[in-house]
Amino acid sequence: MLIFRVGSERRERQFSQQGWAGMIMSAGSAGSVVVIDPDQQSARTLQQMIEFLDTPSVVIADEDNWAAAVDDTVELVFLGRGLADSPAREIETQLLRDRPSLAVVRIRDDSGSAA
Amino acid sequence: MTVAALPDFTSSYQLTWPISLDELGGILERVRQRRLRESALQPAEFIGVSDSSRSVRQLVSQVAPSSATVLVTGESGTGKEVIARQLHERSGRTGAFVAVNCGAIPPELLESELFGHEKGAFTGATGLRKGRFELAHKGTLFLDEIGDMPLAMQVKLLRVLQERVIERVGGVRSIPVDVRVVAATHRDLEARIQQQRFREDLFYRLNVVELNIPPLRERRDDVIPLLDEMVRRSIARHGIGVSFSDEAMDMLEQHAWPGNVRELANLVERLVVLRPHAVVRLIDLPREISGLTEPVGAAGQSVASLVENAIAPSVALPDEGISLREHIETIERNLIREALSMSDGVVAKAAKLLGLQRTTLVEKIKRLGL
Repeated sequence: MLIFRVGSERRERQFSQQGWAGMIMSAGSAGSVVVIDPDQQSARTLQQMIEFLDTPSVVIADEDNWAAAVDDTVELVFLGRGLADSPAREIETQLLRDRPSLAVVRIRDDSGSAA
Repeated sequence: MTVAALPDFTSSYQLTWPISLDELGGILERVRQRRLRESALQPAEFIGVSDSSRSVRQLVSQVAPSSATVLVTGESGTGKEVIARQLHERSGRTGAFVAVNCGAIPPELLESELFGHEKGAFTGATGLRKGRFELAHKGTLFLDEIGDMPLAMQVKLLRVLQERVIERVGGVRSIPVDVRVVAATHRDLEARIQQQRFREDLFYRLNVVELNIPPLRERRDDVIPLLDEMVRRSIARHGIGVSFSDEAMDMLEQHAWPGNVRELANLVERLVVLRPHAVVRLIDLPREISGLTEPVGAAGQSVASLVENAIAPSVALPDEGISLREHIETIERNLIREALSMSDGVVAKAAKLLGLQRTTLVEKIKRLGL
């Protein structure tokens, strides 16, 4: 609880330390993540990597059901390497049109083009 | 590098497969940092004890229950969206609060955004899409930065406000909408009318009630209550607070706050990250606020001073005591977060900053749930 009495002659400019033991910084995770990738193997690999680094809720979706997976709680969307260029671009456009601040990461194969 | 200075995660980003854990960690960290910055330390309510703040709150209470269109004016960062949300929450309207930043959407997309489109209306319109007016049916539509709306769009908006029906792009059907409109701008709309950049008829249609929010420099009495609320929210959300010396508080009250409440919220976020649980002194404030000429303060802290501050935060042991183990974990967590921030999320670089092996740091990151 903060102590601050505005208007008193000598204002209490001190924030109390009550609950100090509970003031453990909660770093949190990157939040809900969706991986859109018809290639289940690469999608699962990415999911495992995210879970190793972080503890978010990772949902795997494909071209047909991604819209249902990307709800308001989602903060980050990966467009997997299994998506072809055209659907990946279309999904990315729709995602950013609906949620301009959404973080979208496109994953391409080493060859420079999506698988 | 401070959190505030961390480059924003651009909305569209590419990685090449196979992805390294460092790359992926960098992405996750940036998303996390962005959420931290956007953690809404800005109060959800319009806070202040000044006469002008009381007047604003009184006007909100009077106007909210009506369906009158409201034009909220004020400099950037004064809290115009907060006012718009309060107008909605106290309106009794059952629909959603839907916000649109008219200045952030490309002109060619704005019509589709506001009114929606039918399938096949244009290239890429693969399905029917409702616009913001329809989404705000029986609710409130907040048109932010209305002063930046293109003239051609102003004509269409005026028609909707007059007739209360919309037509989707590519559609022929008129759809009735019951929407309360709250518009906001930081621009001088009357000046823009003179410059023929804003339609006079739209201005009068929007300006049924004008609600002007004074800049923070004109309501200095509000600085401390706002600061108080922001620290409260920080404690509630992140479990971290800071306190302020008398000199620092005096200087915060005297500052002009050109970025208004948003600038104050950003400062609190930065201090919470860099000086968790500490007493913020005058020298800890950015130079533009403290007026000090030496490059000291939160933004200019060295890693060594960060370490020193983190290891020896200026806090008294509370009467009820603390858990030393948890306290040390907090310090460890804070330093790792700062090192990851300074290294753009690259674990190897962060490990070097902390004098650890990379594998050790990865283990710690996992153990601490970072």
